[in-house]
Amino acid sequence: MSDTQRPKTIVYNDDIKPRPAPRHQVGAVAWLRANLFRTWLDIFLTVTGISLVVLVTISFVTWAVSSANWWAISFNFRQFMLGRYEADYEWRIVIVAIVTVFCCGMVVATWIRKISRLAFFTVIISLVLLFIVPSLAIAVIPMPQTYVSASANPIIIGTAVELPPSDIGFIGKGGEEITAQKVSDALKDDKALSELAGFMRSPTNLMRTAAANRLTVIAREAELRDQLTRDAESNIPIFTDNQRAQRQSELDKIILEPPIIETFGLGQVPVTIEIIHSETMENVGEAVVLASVEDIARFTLPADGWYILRLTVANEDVGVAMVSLGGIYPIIRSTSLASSEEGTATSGFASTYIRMTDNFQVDATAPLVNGTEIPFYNIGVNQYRGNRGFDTYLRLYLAPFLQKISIGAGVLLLAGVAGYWFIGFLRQAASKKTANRLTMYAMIHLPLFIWVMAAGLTIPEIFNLTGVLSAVAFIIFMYYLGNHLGRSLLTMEVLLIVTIGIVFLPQAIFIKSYGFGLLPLLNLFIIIPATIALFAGSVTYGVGDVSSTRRNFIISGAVLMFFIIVPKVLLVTQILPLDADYSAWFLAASDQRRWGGLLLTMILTIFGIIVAFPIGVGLAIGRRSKLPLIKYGCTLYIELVRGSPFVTVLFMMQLMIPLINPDFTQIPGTIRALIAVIIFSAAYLAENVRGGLQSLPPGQTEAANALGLAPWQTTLLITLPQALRAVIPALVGQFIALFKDTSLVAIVGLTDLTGFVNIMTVQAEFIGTRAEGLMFITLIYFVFSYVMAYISRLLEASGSGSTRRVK
Amino acid sequence: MSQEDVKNPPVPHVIGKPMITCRQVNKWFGEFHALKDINMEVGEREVVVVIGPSGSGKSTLIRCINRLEEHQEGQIIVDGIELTNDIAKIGAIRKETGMVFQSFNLFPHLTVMENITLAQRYVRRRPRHEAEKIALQLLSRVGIPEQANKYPGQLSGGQQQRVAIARALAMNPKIMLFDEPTSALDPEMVKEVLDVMKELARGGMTMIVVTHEMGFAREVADRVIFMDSGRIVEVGTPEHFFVDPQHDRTKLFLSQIL
Ligand SMILES: Nc1ncnc2c1ncn2[C@@H]1O[C@H](COP(=O)(O)OP(=O)(O)OP(=O)(O)O)[C@@H](O)[C@H]1O
Ligand SMILES: [Mg+2]
Repeated sequence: MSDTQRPKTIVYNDDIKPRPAPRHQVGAVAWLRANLFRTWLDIFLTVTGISLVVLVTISFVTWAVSSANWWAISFNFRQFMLGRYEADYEWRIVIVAIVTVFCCGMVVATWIRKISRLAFFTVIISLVLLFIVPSLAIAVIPMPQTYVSASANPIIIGTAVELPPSDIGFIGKGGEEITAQKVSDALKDDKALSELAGFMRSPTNLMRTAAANRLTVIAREAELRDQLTRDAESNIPIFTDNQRAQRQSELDKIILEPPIIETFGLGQVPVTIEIIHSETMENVGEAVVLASVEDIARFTLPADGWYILRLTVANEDVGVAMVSLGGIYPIIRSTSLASSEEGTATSGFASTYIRMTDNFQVDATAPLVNGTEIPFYNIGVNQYRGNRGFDTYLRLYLAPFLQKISIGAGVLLLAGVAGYWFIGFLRQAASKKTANRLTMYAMIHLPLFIWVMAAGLTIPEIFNLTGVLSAVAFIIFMYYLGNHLGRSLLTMEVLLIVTIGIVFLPQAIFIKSYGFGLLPLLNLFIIIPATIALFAGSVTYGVGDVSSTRRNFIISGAVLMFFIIVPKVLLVTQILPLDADYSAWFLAASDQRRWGGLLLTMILTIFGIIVAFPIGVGLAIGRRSKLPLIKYGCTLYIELVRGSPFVTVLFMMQLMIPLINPDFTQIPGTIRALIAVIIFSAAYLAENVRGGLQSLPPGQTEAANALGLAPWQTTLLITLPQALRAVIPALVGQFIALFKDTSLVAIVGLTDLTGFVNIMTVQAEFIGTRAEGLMFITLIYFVFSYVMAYISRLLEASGSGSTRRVK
Repeated sequence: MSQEDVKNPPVPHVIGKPMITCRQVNKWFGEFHALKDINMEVGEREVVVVIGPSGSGKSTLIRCINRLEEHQEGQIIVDGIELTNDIAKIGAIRKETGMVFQSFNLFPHLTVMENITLAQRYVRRRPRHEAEKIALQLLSRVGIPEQANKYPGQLSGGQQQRVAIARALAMNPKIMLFDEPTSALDPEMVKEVLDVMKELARGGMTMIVVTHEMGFAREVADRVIFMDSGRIVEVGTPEHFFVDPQHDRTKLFLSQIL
């Protein structure tokens, strides 16, 4: 084997044809092998995981479908969304929602541009589900029956005694048909009775459960007998003596009652059925005697309103007649809060009765017989009993609920799509830049719009606003004045005094004396910054070119004059009479105490973040300041807030604030909670932003300084934008966290989403529906958090949010 | 040269009227004495190259000239304005001096165009269109007019440094300070940056350049300043400096790098 014998190169000439991969290496099998069952540990984890998921899902779905009372949600839906927000102003919130979603569409179109196909299909599919499934389900699936028992004597089972009322009130629409028939299916035997499912009151339910109990007893008896016989027959005894004796004694104790249907003679008793119009007390149609299961009574209701169902069993007839009714469904009494509180003169309680299955409403009072209110088909006592199938669940709860929200959801989705298309169109028609700028403007003004629409805006508020704006304009004005005049100190001081005289004295006299004004103290807040601005302007004298300074000077002066003069002219000329009530002008103020549900949650989150944002940025910059007072002040604040739980901050705001000044008790709890949220999130925001600032290389500031940018320009133009971009994910994370954390305001008695669940479960009709409520708000929290997280992830991925950092 | 002379070298001859004058400048970082009795003068249209071993205070010196660092003793006079704590004076001096850093320090969140126009608009108060016109001129001058709308992260190191030079030039400075502008560059990009600087020097810009590019120093510099442990050890024209260094430290340094 010497080297010379070895060929220098080897050539393979035969052409190898591609073969398909082994079967278990491709397709679904390969995926399963690769992802789920690669190792023993994987197999174990997969199996455990799947079993857990299946177990939890099965039990949850079973509960949701067969026994949860979802009417608690659909009935309280408005409260979940808006709390007790004034019904008259509800349209404003509707507009806010539409505009907000429209803006979200614009954002997606501007900064994300491509939404994934998955998201697109999700939207389409959910739209289809929202519009098609409910109507289909409602058309196809029959409504469950209502079962009612009639008897001359009380039904006694064990210690329970129930006398079925002979008169029961119900509401119906004109033209609806009520059918009544004796229950045929349930009469065969106890098993059929125990499986009865539909709306029923307690007497009927009593018999149903008694039948079910009896069946259990029979089953147990059979089991015991079987065990004992096997024990006796087998050669080797199965039980110890003790066990045997135990079983024997249990067997002896069992007293088997006769079948329930026989005890109560269910089905044998004839029953007379009448329907009476509650206002006129006249019968609707003829009274019908139901003697056998074949007899069917049909009544057509003449008009909308209350009716009385009267079932009569002759006194001599012992036994119970059980009737299955079609067309009569549970009702809820809604004591309308909106109109009852103030204004309505008489009782203060206006009741509306709502049929749960289709939201049909009747305002007339419940029927009285002999002066007393008779029982009616109240949802509280007339619940759906027995096992509910998926079809019934769909027909009773899901479909109507989806139908209820479908219009709203559809409109919102359309608004989003419209926003998306609008920007797409604008990018084509105008330019990318215009589109971006428009989105920017929309997003900046959106919070203001939301607040004004939700809270209302009244004339005094507008005047206060112009006061603030004029103050800002004045400060800017003074800056340019200083910049323009340079450092001829004498002129400056004279001018300052003259301007204060011109601007503030009349304002103080006019506006203040009519109660529209800023506090006199506030004037200090204007004069001091204005003086500083004047000084700052003079320090930077000659920095800018003269023409632009002059222009800015004129513009800010004009703004100043406008905001000061317009309100003053309106007042002095009495165009606005001073003593009129302006609260209904423009947008009437909404009582913030009534805000609740998702609205409150959203407002707390949105304004919590937005107001906290500049404060947080200020704190972050302050903490990096060289001045010890500012630095340690900011540090103290941040650490203090971060070191205490949110709940304590909330309670501080609720309880301690009035100690500072008793007048502060007038601030609604909502606003106090909002302030707490702001205080709290500002500290966390500050830390996030500081992290962003710290991550910047010092060269950025140096370069900016070297170019001659002033410190504030460096901060605003160079460091902050970069720092904020770097911490966008953290900010979005904080926004989402805050969205969920606002649920804590429930502790101080606000009815945000979580708080409302607590309130809902003390309503008589919905006692014990906490699980349903929590489930529902979990869904809301999840959907919103997920969508926000999804959009922020897209934003990051699109690069608009990321830092374009030099390598 | 005696020790005394090295410690207190006479203020050397200057071409044209003095643009930068340092008199007995001392600078401490805490306890650490970073600049010791610096005396120097840079004349109008003069190109001064500062060399020296690492940590000798070259960066500190030129950073003191535009107040990125504060000196504690002595006088620094730039274009007739003395540097004090007066913000207005600092601003005025920074307007007159452009600075180029080793690590470029472009603003990554702004496009090349915005990088160059930002300070023009906010400090020089030029209208946007004018600033953009100037930016485009400068970009063609440094040879990358087509990159105006890119972000710094999309450019090569050499291109970034040229943008940084254009950004500084856009402020119409009378003086340009370069702190090792080519040290962070791959060798093939060094030339394009040096070419721009040579072109600037030929155009009559007053420049102080900290660099290890001896070729550049030889070709362009009017004078070379050698610094060691915070002082100026030797000053001379390139011919004298490289051919006939006087001080032992200079000789050692040159023997190490040449
Ligand atoms: N911010 C600072 N704080 C403390 N010491 C500093 C600081 N900046 C620089 N120094 C010290 O001052 C001395 C001079 O630093 P300088 O950066 O000026 O050196 P240099 O000559 O530019 O070196 P190089 O060639 O490595 O850039 C060094 O010893 C350095 O450790
Ligand atoms: Mg250096």
